[in-house]
Amino acid sequence: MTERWARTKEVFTLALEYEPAARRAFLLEISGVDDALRTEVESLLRSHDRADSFLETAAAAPWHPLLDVNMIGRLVGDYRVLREAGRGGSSIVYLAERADQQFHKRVAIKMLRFVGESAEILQRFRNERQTLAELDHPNIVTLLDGGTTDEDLPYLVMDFVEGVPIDHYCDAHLLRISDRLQIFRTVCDSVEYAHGNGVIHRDLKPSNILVTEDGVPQLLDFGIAKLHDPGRFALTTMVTLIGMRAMTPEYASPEQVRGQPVSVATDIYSLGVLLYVLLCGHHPYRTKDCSLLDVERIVCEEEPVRPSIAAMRNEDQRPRESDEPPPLTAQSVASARAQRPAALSRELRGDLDAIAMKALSKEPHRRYLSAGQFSDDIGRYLSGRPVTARRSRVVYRSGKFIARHRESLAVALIILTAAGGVVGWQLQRSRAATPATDRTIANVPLTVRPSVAVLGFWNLSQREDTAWLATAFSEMLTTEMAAGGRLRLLPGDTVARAKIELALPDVANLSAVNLKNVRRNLGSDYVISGSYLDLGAAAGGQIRLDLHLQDAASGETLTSVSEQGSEQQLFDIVARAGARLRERLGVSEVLAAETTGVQVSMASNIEAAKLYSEGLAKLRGFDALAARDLLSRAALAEPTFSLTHAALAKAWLALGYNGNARQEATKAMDMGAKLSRENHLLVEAQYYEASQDWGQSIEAYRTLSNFFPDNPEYGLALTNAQIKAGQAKDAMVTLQKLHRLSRDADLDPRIDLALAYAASLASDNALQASTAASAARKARLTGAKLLVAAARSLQCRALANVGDAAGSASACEEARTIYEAAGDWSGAANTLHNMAELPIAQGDLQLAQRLYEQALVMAQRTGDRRGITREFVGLSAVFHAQGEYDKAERLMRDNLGNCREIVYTLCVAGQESNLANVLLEQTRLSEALALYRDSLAVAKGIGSTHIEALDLTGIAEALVDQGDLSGAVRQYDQALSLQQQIGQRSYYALTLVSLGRARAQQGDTAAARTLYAQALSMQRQLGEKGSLAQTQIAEAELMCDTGQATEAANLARSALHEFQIEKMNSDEIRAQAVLARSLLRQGQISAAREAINSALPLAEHGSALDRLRLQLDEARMRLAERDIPGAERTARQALAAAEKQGFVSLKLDASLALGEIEAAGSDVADTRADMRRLQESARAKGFGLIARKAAALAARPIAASATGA
Amino acid sequence: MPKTSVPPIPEEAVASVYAELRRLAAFYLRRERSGHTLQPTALVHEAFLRMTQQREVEWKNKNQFLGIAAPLMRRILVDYSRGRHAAKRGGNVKHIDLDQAELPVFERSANIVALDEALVALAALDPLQARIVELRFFSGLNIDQTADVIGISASTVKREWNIAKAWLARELHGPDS
Repeated sequence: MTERWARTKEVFTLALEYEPAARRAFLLEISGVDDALRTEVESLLRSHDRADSFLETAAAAPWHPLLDVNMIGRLVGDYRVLREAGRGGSSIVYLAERADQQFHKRVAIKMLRFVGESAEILQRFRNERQTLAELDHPNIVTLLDGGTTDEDLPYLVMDFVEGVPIDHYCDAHLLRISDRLQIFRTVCDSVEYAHGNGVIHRDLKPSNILVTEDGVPQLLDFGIAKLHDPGRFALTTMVTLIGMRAMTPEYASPEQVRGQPVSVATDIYSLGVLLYVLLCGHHPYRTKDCSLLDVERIVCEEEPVRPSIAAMRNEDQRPRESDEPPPLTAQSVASARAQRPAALSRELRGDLDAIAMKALSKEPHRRYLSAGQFSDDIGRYLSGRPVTARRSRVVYRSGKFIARHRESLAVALIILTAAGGVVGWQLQRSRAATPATDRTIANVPLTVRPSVAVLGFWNLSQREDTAWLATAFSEMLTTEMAAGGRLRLLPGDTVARAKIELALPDVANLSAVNLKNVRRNLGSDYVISGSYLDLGAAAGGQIRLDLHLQDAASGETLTSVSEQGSEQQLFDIVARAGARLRERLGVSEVLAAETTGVQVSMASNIEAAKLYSEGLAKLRGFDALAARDLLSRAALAEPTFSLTHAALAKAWLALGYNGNARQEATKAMDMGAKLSRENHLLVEAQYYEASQDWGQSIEAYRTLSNFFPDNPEYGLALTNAQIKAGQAKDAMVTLQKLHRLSRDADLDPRIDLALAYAASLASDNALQASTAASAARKARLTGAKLLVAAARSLQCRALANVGDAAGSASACEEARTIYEAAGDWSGAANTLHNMAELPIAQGDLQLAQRLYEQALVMAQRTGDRRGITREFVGLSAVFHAQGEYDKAERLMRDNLGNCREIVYTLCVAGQESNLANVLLEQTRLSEALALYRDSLAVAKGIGSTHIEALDLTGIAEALVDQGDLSGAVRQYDQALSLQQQIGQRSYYALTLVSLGRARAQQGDTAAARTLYAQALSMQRQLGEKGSLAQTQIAEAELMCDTGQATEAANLARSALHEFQIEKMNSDEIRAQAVLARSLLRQGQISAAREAINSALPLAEHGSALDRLRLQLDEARMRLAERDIPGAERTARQALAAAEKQGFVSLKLDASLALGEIEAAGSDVADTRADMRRLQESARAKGFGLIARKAAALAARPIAASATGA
Repeated sequence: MPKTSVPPIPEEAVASVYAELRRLAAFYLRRERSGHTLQPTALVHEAFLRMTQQREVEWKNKNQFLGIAAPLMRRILVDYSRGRHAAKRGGNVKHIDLDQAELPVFERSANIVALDEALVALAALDPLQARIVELRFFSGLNIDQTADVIGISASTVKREWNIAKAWLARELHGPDS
């Protein structure tokens, strides 16, 4: 410890003993203190005063209970304690009255329960006194006095509020909703007042809001309130206090529960909970008997049920403790509000629901911004005006669309489609024959139709060759049941997905458990299942079909039907069976030409029917390859059957053959004359999707969803199309509507999932993570495992982006497990691919490589060519990062060919760019430049701004190397503006540095410095240590040339350390080189040599560029070591290599080095001339820095020092 | 130098404490959202409970444990924070990956890392103060406990603590922020 510091401490400690006002004087008086010390101490004192509870941790201390101090009857201040009125966690409240009995005033005296080393508790107590003293409001309890007792126990004296908690008050008085709202508004207004005075309550709950007999609410217990004036307590946000979770779980906001800093929004949240309770009697969450961990999860992740719905619930009638209130029922809740249950629910539905839910938003910024706003919105409701809560329910950031997501989303959504059956093949017979060009839909159901799911048929004969009948019967029956449009049939794809998820057997009749699962998963009202049996040749080759129609809710079998016929009479069998079922359901529309309707659902040729059915089954089982084969054969067998082509189109799409998909979709459309309007539209929509004509597909789906609003499949398909088209905003709107119209919107995970996709479009990681989490949760509840996987996969990506490594990993792991179990290799591949992102960021390249390789294996299994190319992009990038340049180049070129072949444009652009990076590092400048330019053109074509910007920087770097500095600067500027546009702060900072280097080369040191400083500041903010170190190296290089060798060396060392930690090979080499340079400037030759030597082995595994640069440094090193011939040899080698590659900038530098070497020799005149020539040519090319150095060399007298310019 | 009031701890014991702390940290940190600070003292106390329950090591007293745990906890948190923020490979390796969203970008500064660095600076100036802060912040020791672990008087701890706080606050937040 230094003398000075010791003295500083001494003076500081002494000064602390004085009151703040007197300290100044003391410091001036004290002897032996110079001005500098005084200033230092004053600065520390100021900091001390502000840092009141900075770093204070507490409550490791055991509580020392107050020993036997009986307060009853004692005098506290002017008051005499009468009795105990209540006790809280850390304090007791007594009822007292004025000792002199002058006014018979009753007061409450609040005292700490315990005394101990609990700075925090004392602080809070002091806070309370302070905050209450500043508040003066009719609805906030008034502080009268405060002080400490003889035992030094602090106390507060307040008005004694005689009242009941607000929730009890409202119930006891049977207050109607409107009256409750009025009282609530009063509470809001008082909270608003407190906020206005900089006080956040932090513990708003009914027991802190008492209502007097006159109906006046009073806010109490600002005991844990904190001033939210940032100047005073900002420092406390750094630390969270252990064990001091002084809040009531039911009323705590997500941020409180997580220990994050609180704000005004926190009180809003608590008010929201209160409103919720007042409205419907229930708590938004059930947290009784839950551990703190569970509470945290529930509060932070669970979505509360809307008050209008909660009001109708009955709590279960389990036996209760004596002090617990009786269980709530819809009746009891409604009675307390002087209403009938149905009427209450109606009253709450809509605006009040929205208001409460807005206040309960998980994200603080989505809640009301102030208690006043909250109160106002309620006021609007009360006066019948539209409330703000119902406008944009979903808030999201700017819908800045990043084009490159389209492709990856398209694939992801195909997975979703195959798995989730977002678009199904719902067959429907039209009422009247209408020409193909007529686009109107005949039947427009106005009400929500009953829904039916045809679950499947058990093959009783167990013969392989009749297995296809199961699919065939399902498809046909679905069409048949849908005839007339009175029933909503769930598409075959959807049912198939559900069967996989629920592992449903194809049994004749479903057990109660399975039924319940089906209902939860599919949400259908009725299910049909059955069996079929080939009666054999003896019976004339007849097939018998047995069906059961069950009510999904009750499990009751409504009817059983049996029909039989020959293989040629399949249509008839199904038609008859279906008619009987429809009759049972009361929707029979018996028309003469019924059989023609069913016939559109299946090929008429038995062979084709069989192949089609088998192909369909494979497609639904994620086996696109097998599906393609079967369906191709089916198409050959019966080319005029439209649906084969439609299914085949899907298969091609899954395999990444867009062209083929489009062809098949066209055929499906052309041959779809007999299809109903609805199906024609569906086929059309798919054609547009295959052609990537999003605009048209959106139109098609929009029409469908407008006509069939009760069918969420269409709404979701529309959303998907909008997402693919990059219309994040529109997608959100559609989802909102869907949410409102869909019966089970709260339970349907697909809406949240679509939201998550839209969020990823807008790069809103927080929204993506939260909606994905919500989707996963809902999907779990309905047993939709594949949707869970899709949701977790999205969550994984979002969490990786916000740095939650462990959360991301576990999400991806779960997704992968599910996909693998279901045989969805495409999904599994996608997930593995996502998992690789994090290890790359952490420098664990081996892990990333393994993951990509695994993903590749999966992708190869699916035969998905796009997926395969994607994995190769990732893998080759890893090879590059590992320094395996040749391997990377080979793979990249290969892959580029693949991408071109399958016309995967995004891949082409990206791969070209990556390849160009490799070539640039191998100093193959012109090749790299050509690739960058091509990639740029492609990227522009598909609107991928991100790739565009990267290509621009690549071009710029190449131009610098080729000696076109001004051209390079222009490109950098363009790149910067693009990166700013799409908000890529990280890359923006990197480009700043590159531009800075170029400016430095031009000789504009000031500009370079400014740019570096800007970049550093951004990188510090972003916490990017690696990039920051890179910038420091650039700075160090600059400092070497501006006479700041020592600082340069320090910077280089510190950056070096960072590179070693993060295993950034190339940068380490550069750092050593700069270090060596700066050491040379300081004359430390051997230390410099050490640095160069450390770099040499690294360069062996580095790029050609690394080696070339190092060569020059080696040459200069040798010069310093007086090995002139060695130096010259090395420099000439470097020059030659640079010359060969057209590496102008390096060539100039090499020439300069040669000049330095020559100057150490004896050929002075030659040197001067050479240097002048160099100066000229450097200046001509804009290389101001080199020109300057050359000029200096030319002007120097003989025998230049070995340490260089 | 102040003497410790308890005998030195065997290496294995330290290693097992470290392992336990890491496990717990990983568990809690998994549930963290970005920008959220962990409650290090809660973690340390929980580790103590678990380890005594499992009878992994006989601790002379809790303070001894807390004294060991503090620097370990610090290391874990700093490593974690650092790891979180090492987002980019940097410079020349601007790979385009086709299925990912933007490369991770962290919008908040690393509080723990900043504190750690400030503590390193403080240690150069005043090792005792740095140790006091480390014990109090990462293990939640109060004045008396800290005094016990280090082996100095409580009043000394209090005095040094005040100064250290002022110094660190200034270091981290600027002289007049």
